[in-house]
Amino acid sequence: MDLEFDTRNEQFRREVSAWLDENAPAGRLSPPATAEGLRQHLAWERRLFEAGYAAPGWPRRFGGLGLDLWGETVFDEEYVRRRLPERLNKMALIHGARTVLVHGTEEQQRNWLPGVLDCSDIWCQGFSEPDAGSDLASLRTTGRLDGDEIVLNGQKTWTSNGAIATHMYALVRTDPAAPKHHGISFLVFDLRTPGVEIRPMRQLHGHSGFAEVFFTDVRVPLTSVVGELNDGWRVAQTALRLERGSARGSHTRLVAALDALTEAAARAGADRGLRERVGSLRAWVFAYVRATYALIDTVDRGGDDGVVASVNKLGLSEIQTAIHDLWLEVLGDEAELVDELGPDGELLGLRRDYWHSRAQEIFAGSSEIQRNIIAERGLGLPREVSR
Amino acid sequence: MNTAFSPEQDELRTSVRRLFENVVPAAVLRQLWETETGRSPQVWKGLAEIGVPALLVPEEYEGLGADELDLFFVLEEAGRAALPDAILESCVLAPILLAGSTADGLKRRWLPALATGEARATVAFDGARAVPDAHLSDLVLVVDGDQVVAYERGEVTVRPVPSMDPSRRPASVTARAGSGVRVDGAPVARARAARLAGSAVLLGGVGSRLVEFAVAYAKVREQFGRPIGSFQAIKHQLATAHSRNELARHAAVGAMYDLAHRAGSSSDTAVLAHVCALEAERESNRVSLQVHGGIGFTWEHDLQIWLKHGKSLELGYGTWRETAYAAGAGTVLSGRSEGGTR
Repeated sequence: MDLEFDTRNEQFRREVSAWLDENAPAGRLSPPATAEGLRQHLAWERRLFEAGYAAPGWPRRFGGLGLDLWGETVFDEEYVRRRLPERLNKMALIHGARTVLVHGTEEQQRNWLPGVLDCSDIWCQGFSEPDAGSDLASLRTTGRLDGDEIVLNGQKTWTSNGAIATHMYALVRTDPAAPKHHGISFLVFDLRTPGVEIRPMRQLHGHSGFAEVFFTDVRVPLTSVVGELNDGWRVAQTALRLERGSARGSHTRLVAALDALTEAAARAGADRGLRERVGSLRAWVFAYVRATYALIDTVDRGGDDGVVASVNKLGLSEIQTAIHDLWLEVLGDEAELVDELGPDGELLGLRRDYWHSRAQEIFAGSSEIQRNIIAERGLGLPREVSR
Repeated sequence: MNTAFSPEQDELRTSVRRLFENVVPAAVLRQLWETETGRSPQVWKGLAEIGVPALLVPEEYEGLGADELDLFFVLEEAGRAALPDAILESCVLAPILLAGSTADGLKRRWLPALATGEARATVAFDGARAVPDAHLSDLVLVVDGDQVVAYERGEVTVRPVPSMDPSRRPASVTARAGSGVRVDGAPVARARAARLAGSAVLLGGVGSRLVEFAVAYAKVREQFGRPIGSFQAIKHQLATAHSRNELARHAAVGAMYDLAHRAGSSSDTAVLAHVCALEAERESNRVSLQVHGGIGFTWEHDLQIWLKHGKSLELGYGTWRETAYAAGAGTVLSGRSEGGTR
């Protein structure tokens, strides 16, 4: 066992740190859903791209640095530690494009990946539907085969970055006769195709990151299908596991939240009880960081991580929410009096983070879904109903 | 980074697990409640054959010169087996205190005997009223602040004290005036960290076993015409407990690793691992009995062995309140969590 980053990664950490310190944008960028914010984010993404840092884990032939998961982890840690702007193409970077790297053809990779890397294309995820949230496999958006095209009809919702996206990677039902988990395909297509309608939605903390996306006889080429036709559920599992498990800096975000809580507790003149609660959260943050590294190690070696991604995601949600709950409690009405709002009245700072921690218990598979996965696939308990 | 244990460490786990399964299955643990010492001589004999008591003894004193991480599986299996013997005190804490000291005479006299399993030791911290296995220890190390004194069997009076756990057999220890030898230069801070980290590993073993029992029972116990494990009310409790055990285990591995390789952080991470272990085991303890229901609350059912062993470990090595306070105290004062990702 060796729990240190190797010298190569430490060297890379120094390089990344120096570059980020030198180049980081000053101050907060406007939200990407605004014209000004989009311009600022694109300018920042351009700098990352030119420095080779847009996707350090991608193969060199697609413009990455060809780093392994540890190199990516180092980059994510340093990026998150500095609280730099959320990545414009985060949905593609975390899962969409990764799925294409794992399951896509050479041609698909050549067609799609460069646009993700330089942000000339922005991807969103089309999984959830109004009647298919936790029960994702019951999704109803259809893709009817018609020659060398697929005709899409239906609706996606709670689509992060949907308002600014040019492309969507989506799950659609291509064989309505097949059982629930079969007959679903994984598609990547251009949202500027006729018949697509995007309606932006605001999230409850005021941020305009969401959209509803409607499809009426949208014709996309058959080459949109990633992996085999009707094998989309399996293809998507890669993305879902990555979303739940591969951290992408979630452990660093957790440490940052703990730091902020600790500062607030110190300012409040923590009594014994508060110190105990902060101490407990500190312990679980330590555990989560260690668990994250163990999972990265397993995935990096090509091992089967079983339900570890779900175990970690459930833990992350519980710890993150507990930290933010206690933080609000420590600040008391001061948390209400903070005058920190964005241009459209969206909550920023602590209050945004608080609500985000609440959202985290829902997105990427709710805590209840994670518990089902852990219990059924991890512990071998029987299914409750036929799903 | 490599987060995996070595093949040798895995092998050691297999040997220790097999030993405990053979010599202290639940039926034997029950029989031991009624015997004078409450211990099976087969345990220490078997451990000595595997080389466990020699692991932390330096090679120059006929030991194996291994490190704390090599003890991880031994302690975890001891927890899983609800082993009553004071393996943490005799095989981890006493060797650490002696081997790291400058008391050459004591080292020569005791370390080889501990390594072969001929002698057993226990450690009493800070006026402890309940010392594990004092009644069958040849050597008692009494730690007070940063001072350590070594007493031999004849120099202490050992009086049994009550315990919730009929397996435990703790005792109070009173030293005869003027007896004992100072253990100069003993690494007390390291031993304290090892005590917290090591007991975290023991707790983890108990907690994961309790969840295992409950999972197995939930698969076969039927109510409303189906296995109770198919109900989410049961499933989700077990999943939550399992998830906490898993995370707590990573913290415990991290703490034992620090003892072996990063001594500078070990005092801190041992406290953190202990807090996680306490919380995870407490939840596992609760869920396990809850899932078993009435049958789990009978004297005849073996679940009580693990339930009580877990509770006794929860109380025996620093309570949640004092450990969580220790985890939060310094950092809240300075306003920094130091929970860095490194």
